[in-house]
Amino acid sequence: MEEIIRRAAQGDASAIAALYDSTSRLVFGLIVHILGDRFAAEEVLLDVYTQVWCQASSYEQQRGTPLSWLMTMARTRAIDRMRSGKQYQQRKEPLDLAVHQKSGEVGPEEAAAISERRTLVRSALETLSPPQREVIELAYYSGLSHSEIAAHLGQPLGTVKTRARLGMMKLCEMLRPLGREQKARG
Amino acid sequence: MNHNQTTEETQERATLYALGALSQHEARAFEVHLREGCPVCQAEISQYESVTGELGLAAPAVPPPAYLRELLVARLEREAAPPATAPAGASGTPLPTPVRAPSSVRLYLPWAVAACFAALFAFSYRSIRQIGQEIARQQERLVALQSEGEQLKTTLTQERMRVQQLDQVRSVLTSPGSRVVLLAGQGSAPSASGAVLWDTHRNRWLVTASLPPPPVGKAYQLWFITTAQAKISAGVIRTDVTGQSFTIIDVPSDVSKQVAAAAITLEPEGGSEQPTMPIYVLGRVG
Repeated sequence: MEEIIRRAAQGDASAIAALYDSTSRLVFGLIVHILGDRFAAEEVLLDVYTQVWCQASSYEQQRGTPLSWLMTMARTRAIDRMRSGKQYQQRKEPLDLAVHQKSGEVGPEEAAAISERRTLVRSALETLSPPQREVIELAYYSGLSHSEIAAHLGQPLGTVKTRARLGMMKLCEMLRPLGREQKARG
Repeated sequence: MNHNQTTEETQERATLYALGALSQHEARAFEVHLREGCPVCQAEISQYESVTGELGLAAPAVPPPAYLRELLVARLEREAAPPATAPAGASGTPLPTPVRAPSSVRLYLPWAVAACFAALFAFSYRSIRQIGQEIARQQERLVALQSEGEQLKTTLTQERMRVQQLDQVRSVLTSPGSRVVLLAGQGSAPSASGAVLWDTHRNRWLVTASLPPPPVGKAYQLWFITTAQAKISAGVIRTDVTGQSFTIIDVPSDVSKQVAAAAITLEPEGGSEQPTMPIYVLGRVG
C-alpha cells in the first residue's frame, strides 16, 4: 500500500483507483457508520480519495500505516461533514462488534492482513470496560468533544478524561504488536 | 515548555487529541506545543494516533455503489495531476479540503436523475410503441378473422339455399304427376340449357337454367307460351355471376291448362310486356 501511495504522489491516477478498489469498502463503511446517511457518505467518500490524490506526497510513513492515514482522513471528513449539516445530529449508536464479527464482511479485495487487523481492533475494543468504550466511541465515531461527552453521559469531565485515557492506553497495549509488525512490513 | 516525563495529564491530552475530543482552542494549543518539539508529547501522540488510525476498521465494511468509482476516476482525470506538495500538518489532522474538490455527487446528481428519467421515458416509449404495434397486429388479425367469418357466413347461406333448392327439386321429382320440360339452347346461345320441373299437384314450376351471364342493363325473362301462341310473362329470373339460375314460379291455374311451351329471352332490366329479344332457351310441354 505504501507503493500505491508513492505512485499516487508521483501523479499516477491509476494508483488511486487501485487504492480505492482495495479499501473503499472499509472507508465507506466508516463514513456510513459516522453519518448514517448513505448519500452524504458517497460525497465524503469521493472527497476522501480526492484528498489522498492531492496529499499523497505529504504522507509520512513514520506517522502510521497508509490505511490508518486513509481512515483518519475519512473519519475527519465525515465528522466535518456531520458538523456542517444545518441540523446535524450526532449519531451515538455503539458499534455492534458481535454482529460484525459474525458477518465477517471480508471482501475478496480485502487483503488477509487487513482482515487480521480488523479482527484485532474489534477484539481490542471488546476488552475495554463498557464505560471506557462508550467514551472512545462517542469521541471517535460521533465526533463529540470531552465536554460534550460529559454532558451527554451526565458525568464529570474528569471522569470522561480518565476513561478516555485508560481506554486508549489499553487499546495501545492491545494493538502495539500489530503496529510494530505493520511498520516492520512498511 | 517541554515535559520531562509522561504524566496522567500529558496522557489525557494526547489521547483526547488523538480522539479529536479536545476543544478547538485546546487542540490548537497542543499543536503549538508539539511543534515546539516536546519529545514526551510527540511520543505520546504518535502511539495514540496509531490507535485511532486503526479504530475506523472496527466499523462494518460497506461496499460503495459501483458508479462512485466512475465518478472518482472522472474527477481524477479532471484534476489531471496532483498539486505541488504542500507541507503537511500532523498526519492525523488532514489539511483542509483541496480547492478543487466540489461535491461531485451534487454536480452529477441532477444529471443522474435526468438520465434516469430519460432512460425511464425511453423505456416507456419503447414499451408503449411495442404495445401499440401489438395492438395494431391484433386488430389486423381481428379484421382478417371477421372477414373470414363473413365469407363463411355467405358460403353457409349459399349452401343452405342450394340445399333448399335441391330439397325442392327432390320433392318435385318424387311427387306423383310431376313433369319435366327440358329447355334447349337456341340460335343465339346454343350452349344454354335449362329445365322446368313442373309440380302439377301444387302448380309450381322450378326453373333451372344455365345461361350466358347477362350483359349490363339486361335480364332474363321467362315466358309461358300458350297453345294459342300467346306469350305471358312469368317474371324476370335472376342468375348468379356464372349464369346459373334457379327460380320458383307459381303458375296461375288458368295458364297452366293452356301452356304449350316455356321460353327464356334476354330483356331490358325489369322485364318487358312482350318478348323483344331473342329466345335463349325453349322447351315444349310434352
